[in-house]
Amino acid sequence: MNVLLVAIGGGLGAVARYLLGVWVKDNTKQRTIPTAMLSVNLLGAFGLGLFFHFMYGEIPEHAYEQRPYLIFGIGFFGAFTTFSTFSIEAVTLMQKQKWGPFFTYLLLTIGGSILFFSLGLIIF
Amino acid sequence: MGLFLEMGIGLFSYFDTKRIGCRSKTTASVTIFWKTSEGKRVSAVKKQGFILIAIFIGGALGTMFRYTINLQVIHLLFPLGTVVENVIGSLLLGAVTGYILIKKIPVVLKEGIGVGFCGGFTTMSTLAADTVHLVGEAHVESLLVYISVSLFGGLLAAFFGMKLGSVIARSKQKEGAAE
Repeated sequence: MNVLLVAIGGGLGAVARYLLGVWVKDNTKQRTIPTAMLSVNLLGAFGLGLFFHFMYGEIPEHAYEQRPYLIFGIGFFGAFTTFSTFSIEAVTLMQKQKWGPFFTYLLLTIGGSILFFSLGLIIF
Repeated sequence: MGLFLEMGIGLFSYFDTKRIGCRSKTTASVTIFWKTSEGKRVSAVKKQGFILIAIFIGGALGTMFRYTINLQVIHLLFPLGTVVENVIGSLLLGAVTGYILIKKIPVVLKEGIGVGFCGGFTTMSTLAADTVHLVGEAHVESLLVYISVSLFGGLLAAFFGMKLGSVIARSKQKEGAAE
């Protein structure tokens, strides 16, 4: 049962990531920095922070048996945000020797995700 | 700065709408659209339905694997699961990316494995949550190890994955040429 909840949340999260990514690519100016995945990761980190805030009021530690945590925490927001595409895009910038955009992308994604998650956690 | 302004305007115009909808003529084409305040319909995304299904299945499987690995290491103080998943997922997506640069694979497979499975298997939001948690617990050493192994491990894995993928694709090409 738990695995099923995680799977449904994850499937929906992945589809939502794809749709938002395509939408950002189609509707904003193309830049050296991959803005599509950056937007997705920042939004997803903010979303997880908000979810933790409203559901638990803190970062839950032993929530692996709780259904909302499985569907949204591990499932939806876990799959909505992604690390693998970030790695590939960062390595591609490195191979093109675009060091400025590379470090900017690294900093904005990692620092930004931590910042946006914290904002979600404490904003209200 | 301009970048964030643009993202902000994008989000603002998205919410300044009357209606958001989804239309599907056949399973082969799904259009997501919204109506602006003037009643003009803007289609946001038009995609083939079977690609979305492939991404859903891939994402569900990837998330199930991530959850299973997390359960194995749940007793540890250090969030090892997310590090392992992000590094392995980067390696796998690297291999797929390197492979398709040389040899084509069906688009359903490409999006299902790449966007779906690898994307769902790896995560950035949990990385952010784990980091903030480690900061709160004042585990400075764990924090430094966590961030640096995730970052360098992930980038190295992606790099070698891409090499590996293109090597596999080339050897397959040679096999094909020999036959």
